[in-house]
Amino acid sequence: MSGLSGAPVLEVDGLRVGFAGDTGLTQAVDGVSLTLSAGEVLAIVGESGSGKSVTALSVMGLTRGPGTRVEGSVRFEGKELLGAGEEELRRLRGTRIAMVFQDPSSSFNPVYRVGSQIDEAIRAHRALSAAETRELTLRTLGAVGIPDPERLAASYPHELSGGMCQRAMIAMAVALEPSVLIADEPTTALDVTIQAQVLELLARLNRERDLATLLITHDLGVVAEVADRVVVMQAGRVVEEGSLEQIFYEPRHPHTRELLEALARLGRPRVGAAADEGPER
Amino acid sequence: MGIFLLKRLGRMLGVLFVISVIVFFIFNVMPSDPAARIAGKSATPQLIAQVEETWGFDEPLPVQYLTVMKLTFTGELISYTSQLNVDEEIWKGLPATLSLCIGAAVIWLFLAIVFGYLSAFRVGRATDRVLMLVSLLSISLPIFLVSALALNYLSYKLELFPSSGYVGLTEDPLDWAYHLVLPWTTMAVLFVGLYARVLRANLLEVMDEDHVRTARAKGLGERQVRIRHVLRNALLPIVTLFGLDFAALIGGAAIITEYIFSLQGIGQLTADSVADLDLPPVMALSMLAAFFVVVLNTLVDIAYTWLDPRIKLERAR
Repeated sequence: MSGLSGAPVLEVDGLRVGFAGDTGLTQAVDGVSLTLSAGEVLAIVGESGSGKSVTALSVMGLTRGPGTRVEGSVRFEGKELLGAGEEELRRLRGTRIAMVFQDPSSSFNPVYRVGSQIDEAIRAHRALSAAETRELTLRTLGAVGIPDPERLAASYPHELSGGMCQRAMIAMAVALEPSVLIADEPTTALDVTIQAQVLELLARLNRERDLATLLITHDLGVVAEVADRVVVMQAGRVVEEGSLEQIFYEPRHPHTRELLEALARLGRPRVGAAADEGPER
Repeated sequence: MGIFLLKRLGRMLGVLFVISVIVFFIFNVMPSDPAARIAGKSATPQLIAQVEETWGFDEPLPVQYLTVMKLTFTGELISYTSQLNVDEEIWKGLPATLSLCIGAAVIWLFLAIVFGYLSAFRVGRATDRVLMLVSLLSISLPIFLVSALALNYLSYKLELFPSSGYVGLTEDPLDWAYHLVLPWTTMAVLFVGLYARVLRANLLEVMDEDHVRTARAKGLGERQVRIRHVLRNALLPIVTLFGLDFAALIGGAAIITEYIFSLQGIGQLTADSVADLDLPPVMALSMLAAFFVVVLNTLVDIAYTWLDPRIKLERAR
């Protein structure tokens, strides 16, 4: 709930991201401002191409490159990131701000074992021995609810189910106990039953580790399950922002209503419950 | 793994059998009369008949084939033309060919990886354009031209390198390398361009994959991302190409380089034997070339499973 939010950890202010292409500059993000407070789950909702993923990648400094123009301000714990040096950003990635992506099976490198990829993430930031690193890897895999961490660590990504892969991905993200987790469509590629488990895991990590989570999704059903606050994006701009209740019960912007109606039309029981009794907490 | 190797061994025997049969029968439909050639220019018919009997040319073809095969595998095969032992000739030529091909391969693989890497990570910029132009030149230049230019300028005019000959590695390692610098370089020039371009294309493809973004998001340094996650994943097609090219080269395709630099290797032996319609060495050399191709292919398949664990040996047939 927005009530238990602490100090802002991540403040995005007037973020504009443009990509130079053959037809000139495409403004993917056009003046987005949002604040993520400690311990809260903030959902960014919008249709494909609304700029939500680009916003997330820009926070991590992953949209940098020739042909990209990033303007505005992204502050993490009060520190400006947009002007930060590459090495400074690298040290934040994975340690303070971590990210989980949409398609878990293609987000791991297919040629290395899952365990060694998590080890690699740890060793990029901590001077631990191989044994200590592996121990932390296995401990984190256990913490995200993987029944047999040793076996999972020894597997290649293609040998795992989507759900297991995403759990391992989340383990890799939270291994170094970051304060912000950005989850970019973390459940979109998964089966519905697995989706619920992964969302439950994200909610639990948010509760237990006080992990501020920026959840990016196009699915308001997902939002209803875990978010405290919601930002609705359309065409690179924030069109509405509010608590979960406000967005679901008193949507002001027509686009938000459209998104809610689309959800209702799909007639999913979960959404019906959300509309009748309010989102389950 | 064991089953895989056994299957491969079986397949190799099959390939060698087919190759030997084809070579043997091609030679027997060609208008050549080995007995007359062995007997000499002014031989009497009696002498020719006598030679035919000694060499077994009057036997039916399958029997002749079996005789040749038996001699091949017992190491007693004798050349019709020079009357020298074929196995010994091959063993004499092999070190030069292997030295040439392995040395050149090291150079071209190294340069191709450097060129491909540099241009892929500077795509569209000046470095990329220059390197790709150089690669295109390297692909288009015929090897005899490169060798001739190298010989003319580096060997005859500047006298930097010897123009020909092979010195055994065990005799004098320095002189061995000194004599091979030019052949190595010219042969490497032939392959660098193609390999660099193929690698560049693969690097560009892998660069955009999701897992590379993950590697950056977890805070790896750029160099580690590029080498461990992009380059490493882009090597597969290079390995395929290399297996095929290298097998062909040690199997005799290095002929032009060997010939120009008088290295007396396998390629030269093959060319001479074919020119003389000398069946025994051609037979043995064809089988040797086929052997190299099958062995290299097997090694490539094993390398695949190491490079990409999604590939299983049981499925690679």
